[in-house]
Amino acid sequence: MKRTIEVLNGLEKEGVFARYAIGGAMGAIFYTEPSLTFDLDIFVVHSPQENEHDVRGRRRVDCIGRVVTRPSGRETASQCIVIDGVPVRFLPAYNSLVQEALSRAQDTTYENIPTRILSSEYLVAIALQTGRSKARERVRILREQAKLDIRLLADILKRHQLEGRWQQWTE
Amino acid sequence: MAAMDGVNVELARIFASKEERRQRLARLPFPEKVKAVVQLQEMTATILRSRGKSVRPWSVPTLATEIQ
Repeated sequence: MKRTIEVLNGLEKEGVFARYAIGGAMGAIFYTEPSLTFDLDIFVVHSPQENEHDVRGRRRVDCIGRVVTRPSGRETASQCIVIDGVPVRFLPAYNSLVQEALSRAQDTTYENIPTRILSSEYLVAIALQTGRSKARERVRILREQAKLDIRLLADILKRHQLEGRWQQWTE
Repeated sequence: MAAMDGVNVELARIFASKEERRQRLARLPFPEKVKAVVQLQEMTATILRSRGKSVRPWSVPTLATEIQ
């Protein structure tokens, strides 16, 4: 995992993407008790010259990581690439909520390696927006165990029209 | 009735203890949580594979510290 984060930092430094942050289940686990997951979801903001970097980026992935392995048929099916033994799923910032979450991601360290994690309030909002049953469980556990900034969360939910689902899921 | 109250007290103690443990796990440093996740992956991989799911535990060091 440490080496995985080093590779992600390297990819960001090289301009393969402009910014990244850990989200999904592992992002939530930063704030809650550990739970089962097999993927590391990495949200990314692409560089302005996306297409050029996309091509160059793939070369760089190969260059930076002898640690980066090409996905096997099975891994391709789950759309992950394995970086130092960790299946990483890259998710582009697909809407305004995720873009905002990425821009406000929390700086932290993992075994002295700098990294970023989506804040717990945005993890809740993204889970609400996703709307799946797994996401509902994530909202429940984040409410229980993360120290949510309720004012910030309320602001995010209002601006992204998620108050209705919040009420529906938490009443 | 007294016996029932005794059971309830014991159940309350067990639930409180479980909740306290969950809160303690939530307070672990992130790298320790990652190690716990890998242990969970290793514990469940065989079962998931037998159900036809393709899973592979991460190849990172597993939990060194006691979290029970």
